[in-house]
This record gives sequence, structure tokens and C-alpha cells, in this order.
Amino acid sequence: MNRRRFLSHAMANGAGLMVFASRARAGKKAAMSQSVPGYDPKPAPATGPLRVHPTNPRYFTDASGKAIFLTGAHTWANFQDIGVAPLQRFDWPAYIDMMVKHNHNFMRFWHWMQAAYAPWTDEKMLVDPLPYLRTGPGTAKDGLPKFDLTKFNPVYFERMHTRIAYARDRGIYAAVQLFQSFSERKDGGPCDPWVAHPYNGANNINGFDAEKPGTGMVDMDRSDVREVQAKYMQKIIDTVQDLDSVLYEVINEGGNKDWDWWVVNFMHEQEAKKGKVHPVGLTGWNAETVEQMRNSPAEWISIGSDAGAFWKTDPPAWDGKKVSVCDTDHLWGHGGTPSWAWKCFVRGHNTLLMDSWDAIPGRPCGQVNWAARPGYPTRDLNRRDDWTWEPVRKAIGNTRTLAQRVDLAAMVPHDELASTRYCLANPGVEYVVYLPEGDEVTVDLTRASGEFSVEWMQPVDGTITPGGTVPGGGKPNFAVPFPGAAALYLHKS
Amino acid sequence: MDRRGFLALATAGVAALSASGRASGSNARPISPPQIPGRGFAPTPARGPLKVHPANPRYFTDGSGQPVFLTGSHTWAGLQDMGIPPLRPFAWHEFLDMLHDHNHNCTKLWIWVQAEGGPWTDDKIQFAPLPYLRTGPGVALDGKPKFDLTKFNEVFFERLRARTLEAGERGIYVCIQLFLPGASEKRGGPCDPWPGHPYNAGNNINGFDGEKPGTSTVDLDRAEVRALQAAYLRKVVDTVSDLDNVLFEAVGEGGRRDWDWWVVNYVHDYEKSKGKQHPVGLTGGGAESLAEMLASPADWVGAGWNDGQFKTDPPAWDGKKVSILDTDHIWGHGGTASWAWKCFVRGHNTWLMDPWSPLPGRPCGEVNWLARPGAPERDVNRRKHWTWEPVRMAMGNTRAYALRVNLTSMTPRSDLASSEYCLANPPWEYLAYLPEGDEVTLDLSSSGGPLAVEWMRPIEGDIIKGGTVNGGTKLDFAAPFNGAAVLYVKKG
Repeated sequence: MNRRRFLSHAMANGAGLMVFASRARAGKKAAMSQSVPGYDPKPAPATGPLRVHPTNPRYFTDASGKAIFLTGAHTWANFQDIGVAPLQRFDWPAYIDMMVKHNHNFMRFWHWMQAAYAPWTDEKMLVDPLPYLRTGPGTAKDGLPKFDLTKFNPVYFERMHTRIAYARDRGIYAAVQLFQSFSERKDGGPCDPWVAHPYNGANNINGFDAEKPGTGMVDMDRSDVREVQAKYMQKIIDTVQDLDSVLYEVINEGGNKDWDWWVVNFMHEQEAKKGKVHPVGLTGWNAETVEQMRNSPAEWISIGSDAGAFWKTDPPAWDGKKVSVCDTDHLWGHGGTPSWAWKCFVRGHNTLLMDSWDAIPGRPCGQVNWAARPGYPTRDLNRRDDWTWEPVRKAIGNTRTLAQRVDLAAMVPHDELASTRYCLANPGVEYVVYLPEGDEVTVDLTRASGEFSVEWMQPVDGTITPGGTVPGGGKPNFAVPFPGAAALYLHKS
Repeated sequence: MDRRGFLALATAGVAALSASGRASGSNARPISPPQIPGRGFAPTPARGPLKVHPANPRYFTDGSGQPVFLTGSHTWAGLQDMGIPPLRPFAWHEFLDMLHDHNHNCTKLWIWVQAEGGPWTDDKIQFAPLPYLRTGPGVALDGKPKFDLTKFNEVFFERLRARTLEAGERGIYVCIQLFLPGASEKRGGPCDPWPGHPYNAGNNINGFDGEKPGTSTVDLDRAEVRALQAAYLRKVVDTVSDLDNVLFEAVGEGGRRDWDWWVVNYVHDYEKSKGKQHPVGLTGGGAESLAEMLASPADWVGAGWNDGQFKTDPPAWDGKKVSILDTDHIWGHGGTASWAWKCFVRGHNTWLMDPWSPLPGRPCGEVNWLARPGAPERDVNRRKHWTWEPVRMAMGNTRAYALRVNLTSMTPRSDLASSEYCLANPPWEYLAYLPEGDEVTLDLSSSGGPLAVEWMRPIEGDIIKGGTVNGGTKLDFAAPFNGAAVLYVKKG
């Protein structure tokens, strides 16, 4: 795939890329986020590593035994600082504040392996800190000392632990991204981070060249490569294994089935030796099929737009074969809608927003999906305050508000119970129904008895409007008491 | 059908009446839709009676040969004042102003034949003027002089003509609703307008009893009933037949097939003796199914709530008849801006049953404009309820595009847009609707070269230029604002 095709394909179609933070903006805009109604300003930390809920495997559970709905915003610079020099520090506390105010409880914790450059920019994007120490002797291709792949950088791992613990204390889970496909060359693209990759033979003192010849990509089939990678994974396990709020993501939109599964199994086996096993997930946009991911040893998966554009507009009801985390990163790249967030929720998925809280840095070296599109030549989604983001941030927080109110362990997608076909229900007990266009909805309560309390929620604002009561036993046609999309919550009085 | 069933169904789609007092001004407010292309034009009076467009039978055409997309609000008191006495006159000119300001070009004039009462209320609401003169001798059941069914009330027919003329001068077509069996008769409900009906034997000096025995409804099978109705039809036609801006609705939500078709055929036949032929239509939600209406001699049809997914996903229309979808027959009181757009891009014309003047009287049972599950405080039976203005505005915006595009060649092409809402004339122009906004893939494979792009907010109507694109392929358009969107792509 040539550079242009790669960029328009990978980035436009969901490619999960990364981004960068305009730090100056980051600080200034921190105040723009608004609290979601019902959010908990002092959320409780996780109580035990997540495991798949035994009776409702669409969700995880912790030591409490309750089903846990995961949702939140993640951004490309939330672990390592990235950007064009001079690098500025990502405002981690402000970002966590934003998540808490929006009632979020989950993020991906981004990892970049390269010291500089990226597939989407021809500028020299820098990354700091990095996992390996740059001890020299000798100079790498970026002009700085070469890496010693036998020596891990304590700054990197200390930050990893510190930030995840900080997030944990605010009730937020973090999926540690173990590997990053965008740290390598993308299908021959000229904007090439392989130049600054520590596994590039020119960049380390260990004489280690991991490149699949001529590709600018790590050769995942080689045993010596896996050996180096295994040590890196072991170091991560050693770093965060004590934290209950951890999940792992094998690689952002990359790998291949054999290697992906090797990583998952390695993490499982090594963590089992330590006593705590954290969930491992696959987000294999265009690298693994849905069925491959569903049949893998992973605990959670993220399905991308390569599986069909309907995942943006009509995500199917989920059966719970794995925990599903729908991530806008793998669907839009830059994008997302509040309606998507609600549809995913009532169809049994967890959700993540790829948030331009800190913009992806660097001047694009080709077509990118956050800039001009047909019909929108001035489009620039790569900024925190674009109108796209805040409604989605708020909507995902509002879905969690309801997730926390219902007995999620018993809630299953029941398309057939609502005329809109968006319904998460424990029939006879409680129902969450989404109305993408508002107006009215018929809910099948024929198998329910007793009286139900009715509540409406405005999907973005989160405002709740009481709707009286209705008796079970029929198919009431509910009328929405406000314009536009609506969420309906029915529960036993 | 019992009372509750009747009210849930019949009133659901039927009639309404206006508290004339409120209509006359207290609810009035200035409305200033944005000036957008296709809006704010000086109204163009009709240039000949409507007939089905020969090339695109989804629409009518007038003498100009151009297709005419019909859309607009109508309200129950548009012709006759109605309400609890003392009756106050309906603010007709204010209503016309509203239609004009919203870029509407079509309304309905409801005809109530009963002197008082309605099946939805136990209040003695009254109607005036009425089609027949109340000459006496003798007193009808409402205590006023009996009707003489041989004498028409010229005040009524003069108003019918005057209002139709005035609407025409404002570029507005008028659909005259000829009969209202569901709202002028009982249908088994306890709130019974039959005691106020002129065909009730107790109410006329002609010894005429039009009742189907024991039903409080007109016996539509009897020859003498039809003879009387025919005289009334001739009088209506005589009153407006020289006007170009007229359509007829045979009956609001149906009598039954045989009688409905008789009405249609009668008007057609009688108008043949006149200079001008006007379209006659049938509307569903009552006695006839859509399939029956499509097989009828009517020129246009309006599917009803029992004909399928016309609320949420109106099907692409093939033009076998002109389709004029009316919220009245789909919701009763209700409607959404999205519905207006979906109907438009699927090839339908549209009407909004608008409580511009609310339906008067205290309900005598469940009615569809008040409490519903989940909305115990609901009252949409008022002009200012949040439901209405977005629909009024959206309909006007659909007409703005109807006036801009080459409607003759535009057909529903759900296959060309990933949202499945698209009216198009490939390779020249495409109008797509995105109910949830965000993005849409448009198949421009047959349109090589540059195409201009613009977006419209479906309710506000403001237009945002979207630059140009090169066709010849499928393109993934991104909407430049939140929420539902309209995309217009045109060659050149």
C-alpha cells in the first residue's frame, strides 16, 4: 500500500492513531469540561483486578462481584509526552479531572516505542520518556545516544505506575498499551518512525536489528525479537501488577494472529505466576478479523470499522463471547457521536472515545482523517474544543450513570422489546431504551407485572425528567417529554 | 369498538377543533424563519388547476408544467369557527401569515357539518357557519331553528370561496375536506355529535332521517342520503371550481370503500361539466387500506397510521398516486422534523396537523394529545408546544429545496446514500438526509467532474457551503455541525 493509500485508508477508516497535545491549549481548555449529572466526585478505587463477569460476560467484574461498565476518553499523550520540540508536559491531573467530571472510568494508556517521528507527519515528533535507556556509546539516527535494550528507563516505568495509581484512586481503569503499530513504518509511507525505533539496528548498542527486511517494521516471527519483547512485557508486569485497575491491550491496530495470541498468552502465564491476572485485549483493526479476536485467548476485544460501517451507526447486540469495548479510535479514528455511545451501551458494549483532548501533533504528510473531508473543507477535529467532542464525552458519562443504577449483571440487549430496537433489559425488572430520534417508543411489557417508574434522560445533557408510572402487562407507547433523542429508563416502582 | 377503543383510534387521527378565542390572538407570536434560498419569495398564485405531473407522478403540476411539491400546516378551525360559546372568529389572516412565513404552500379547510358536539368532548362545542340554513320552523335538538336541507347557507360558502381565494393569492393551495364522518358522527362514543347533525331527523324541516338505524351515523348506502350529499358536493364544487388552487379530500379518514369511491367519482364527473378539474384524494387511518386507496379513482392518497412505517421510515414512493402524508393520519397530534425530511426525500408531499388553534372542549375519554405513558403532563394541543415549530420549519425547508432542484427528474434513490434517505437526479443533483448527522457515503459514480456541496440544518434552515468535490466515485461526506443534516450536491 503506498503512502497516500495508507494514510487515507488507515487514518480515514478508523485508524487508531495517536495524537499530540498542544500543551498550551491543554492547560487553557481544561476548564471547558462540564460535569455529568450524577457523577461521583470521589469515586472509589478498583477493588481487585477485573475479570469477566461470570453470569454476564459482556462486562467485567471486580472483587465486589458487580458488573462493571467501562467507558471513558483516552488521548494519545496520556502517558508519554509527544510533540514537536520543545516538548511540553501533558497535564495529567487536568485530564483526570475531566474524566471524573464526565463520569468516565476507563482509558487506554498509550504507548509509543519510537524516539521520534510518526507515520502521519513529516515533522520530527518527539516522544518522552521511552522504555529503554539511551546510554550510548554511539549516536542513534536521531542524533541522541543509542539505546541499550538491556536497560529499562526507570522514569518511563515510574511514570506508568504513578499515573495508573493516580487514575485508580479516582476510580479510573487503564488499559496499558503494550505495543504500538504506529511506532513503525506504515506500508511504505515516507513519514517513518522506524528511523528512530530502538529496535532499528542503527539505534541500539546491542547489535539488535528487529526489522523485517526492507519494511521498517518489527519482524514478529523471529524468536530473538520475541525474546526482547518478552522482557519488555515482563518489566511492565513487574511495574503495574500490583494495581487492580489495570487492563492490557496487546497492540494498537497491528500485529497478526499468531503474534497477538503469543502476547496474550505470555501475559496470562506470567501474571498467573504473580498471583494477579489482569484482562488482556485485542484491538486488531485490519490485522485480525472479528472471529479471530472472538476465538482468541484475550478477555476483551475492540471491533473496528473494517468489520463494517454499521458499527458506527447500528452496533449489533453483543452476545458476550468476549467483553466488547467499542472504541471510536477503531471506527472513526477522529470522530464519534453521542448516539453511537448510547447505541453501544444498550447493545451490551463498553465504550471508549478517542479524544483530541491533546491534539495529535505534527504537520500531516498526507491525507488525514481529522482534517478536510468531502463537504467539510475546513474540518479540523484535531483539537479539544471542536464541537464533536464534548457531546460524546458527556453521553458516555451519562450511559455510565445508568449503568451504575441498574443491576447490570442481569441486563441483556433485547432489541425485540422496543420499537426502536435499542433496549437493554432485565425483563420484568428494568429496561433502558434509546430513541435515536426521540418522539415515541413502544416497549413490550407484556411479560412484566406490577408498576414501573418511568424516567427520561436527555442523552447529552443528562437531564432527568420523571415520567410517572406505568403498569406492566401491555405494550405502552411512551411519548418523550422533550425534543430530540432520548433515553428511557423503566424500573420496578 | 368501545368508547376507549374509539377514542384511542379515532381521535388519534381525527379532527380537532380550535378554542377560537385562543386562536384569535392570545397565542400569536411573531415567527421569523431565517431567509434561505428558496424561501421568502413573493408568492406565486397557481397557474391552473393541479394535475398529476406527466413525467414525475409523485407530484402535481400546475399550468406552468413545473412539479409542485405540496407542504403545509392545517388546523381544525381553518374554515369554520369552533369552540365553546361564545365563538370567537379564527384569525385566518394570521394563519395565512404563518403559512407564508414558514414557506408553506398548502393547507386544508376542514368542514364540520354538525352544529355542535364532537366525539372527543363532552362539552357542547359549536361550529359556525354551517353549510345548511337554519330556517325553522321548529326547534332542533340544540334549541335553535331546524335546518332546511334544501337551502345552503351562503355565509358558509362565501367564506369557503373567500378563504380559498385569499390563500391562492398567497400562493397557497387549499384542500377542501368534503366529509368528516369520523368527527361529525358518533361511532359509538358517548360524546355524540349526532344530536347536532343536520341529517338527524330531529334537526331538519325536511323530514329527512339520514341515520343508519341505531348507530348515530349517516347511512352511506341509502340513495336518498347520497342524493342529499350529491347536492352538497355540487354546491361545494360550484363555489370553488373556477379557482386553480383547489384540491379535494373526499373524506377525512374514510367512510368506506364503496362510498369513498362514489364521492371521488362524483366530484370527478361533476367537474367534467365545469371548466376545471381538481384533484380528489383519499386519506387513510380509517376505513380504507393504502392498497385500496391506490386502486381507487382518487388522484392522491394519504397513508395512515395503520399502513406501515410511515412515521419513522416512510417508504420510497413510486408515484402510482401522488402521496400527501399527513401527520393527522399518522400521529393525530404529533410529528417530527425528521419525518418531514424523510417524507420529502422519499418522494412524498406533507401536511402537518397543527394545533395552531387547539382542538376545543374537555376530553370525554383518553385522547392522544394529553397524558401518555412516560409523559403524564403532556399537552400538545396548543400552538406553542415544543413539538410544532420544528416541524413547521422543517417542512418549509423541504419546500425550499423542492423549489431549487429540478423536481421533475428527482426520484427517491435510497441506494445512493448510506443513510438511505436520498432524492436524486443522477448525475446532476442529490439531496440526502442524515437523521443522526455525522457522515454519509454518497454514490456519485455516475457524476464525473466537480460538484458543489452544501449543507442545511433541517430545522433552522441555515445553509453551510461545503466546497466542491469531484464525483465519479463514492464519497464519504462529513457534516460540519452536530445533529441531523441535509446534504445537497449539485453538478457544476
